[in-house]
Amino acid sequence: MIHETSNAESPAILRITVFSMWLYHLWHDPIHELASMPMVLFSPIGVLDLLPSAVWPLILSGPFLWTMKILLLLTLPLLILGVRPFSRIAIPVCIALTLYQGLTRSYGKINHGELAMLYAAYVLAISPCVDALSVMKPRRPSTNSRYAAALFAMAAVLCLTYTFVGVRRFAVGGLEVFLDESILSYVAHRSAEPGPFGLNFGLMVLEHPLMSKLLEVSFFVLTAFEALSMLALFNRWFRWCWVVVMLGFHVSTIITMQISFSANMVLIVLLLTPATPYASTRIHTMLAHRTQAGDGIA
Amino acid sequence: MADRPKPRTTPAYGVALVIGLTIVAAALMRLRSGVDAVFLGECIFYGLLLAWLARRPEVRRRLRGDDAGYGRIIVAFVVLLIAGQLVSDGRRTYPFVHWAMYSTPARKAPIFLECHGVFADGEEVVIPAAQMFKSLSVRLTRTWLKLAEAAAAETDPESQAESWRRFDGLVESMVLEYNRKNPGPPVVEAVVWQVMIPANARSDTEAYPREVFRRVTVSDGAAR
Repeated sequence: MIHETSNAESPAILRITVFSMWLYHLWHDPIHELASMPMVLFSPIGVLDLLPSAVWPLILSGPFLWTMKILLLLTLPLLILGVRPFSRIAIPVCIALTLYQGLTRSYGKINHGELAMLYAAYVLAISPCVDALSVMKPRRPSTNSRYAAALFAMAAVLCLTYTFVGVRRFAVGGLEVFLDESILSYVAHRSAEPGPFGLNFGLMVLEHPLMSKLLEVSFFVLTAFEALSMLALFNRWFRWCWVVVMLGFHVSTIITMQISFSANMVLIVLLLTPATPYASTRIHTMLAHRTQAGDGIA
Repeated sequence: MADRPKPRTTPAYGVALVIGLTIVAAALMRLRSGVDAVFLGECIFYGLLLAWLARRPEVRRRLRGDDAGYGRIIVAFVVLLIAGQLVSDGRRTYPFVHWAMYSTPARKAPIFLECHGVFADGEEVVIPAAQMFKSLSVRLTRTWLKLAEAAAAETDPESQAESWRRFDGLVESMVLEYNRKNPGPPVVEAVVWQVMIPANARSDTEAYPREVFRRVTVSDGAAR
């Protein structure tokens, strides 16, 4: 099984990466611009709907959005540095991230770009991930089994989201969605419309019949891999194939459809390849050598 | 060192599990508008998936012993994710939304909207809608298209007027944002073009058939 052998550095690497990605994302997100959007288009979703409607004009005001952004920009580095009490900082940050991501999704379409990253933050918030690579001294370190459990939980949640997509596509679209050239229409649409990257390579791909056919076949193969994603947690050979297919798919959607799942790509590499076990072992060994050398000097 | 007693599955635990599952099922039934074959099929699939996972020795090990408490929290989290998928109404279940990308057959004649700003001297500029509110990005263009389709399809005059008001409000916001980001003469009118993507779409998007969809006069105040 994946992450059978983990040490304190393993979840710490995930902690640093996930919250750094959030920091980067937030830094580049002009969330305060939402204050210029018409209120009539705003319809709170999910847990946001629990808040009284009277607070929305306040929340969607420039000063509040700026305050939220600045507070998150100040607290996320604390999580990256592993400051304690970790969970007491991480849980409010996760609530704030949920609000922040919910705000942008309350203006219509609910997309999925950052959700895997949000779920990873949820899992980290309650996991032992500050026992290493932290600015604070270690205190009652957890067990290797618990570290492995944290990584397994994150990998399972990530794989589950892919399972959802694959199963739903087979259940709703049946075979029709693979046989009626739907994917070609989707690529044409996403590539032609003015998007965030200004790329329309998808249209160039569609100009070649062979490439179009390849696109249709790979759509089916991708969906099959998505539906079987949970197998990647337990079977090494399937996991390698899955990683290649998913990373290839994410790169191709950036090029042909102007859709980026960059956070997912990072999480796939960290959670489903030997990258984290390798890095954590190296760091652990290096730190152990440094400690021994320090003891020797002393 | 004495062996620790093995955790046992007690009747109380079983009852709690049944109650929990019943609550989840009730919530699902209440939230979901009608039960269909897809829902039932997915319920069976995820039931089998959870049963398969629960039988894996690696997973069982994590749900017992020292990791039991942590494991149960993760199980609850997974159940919420699956519940969100089954409810299929992300607007009510966020952050546990459903994942259904590209699961329905695509429309055969896709369209998109393009916003052109008109200056006082009649000169035009293309306003990149997806780049006006970067927090929303393509979410904005999808919403924009949906508003346009909703307004065009509406039959009740009052509801249609309301739909157009929302559509115009969004266009006006985009133009005001454009004016804010581009100092100089302001855009005073927006012309929204509807662009049809042909079946044999080519890279030259300028050649696609297009028609004026709506004109929106821009006020100089905030669109809120």
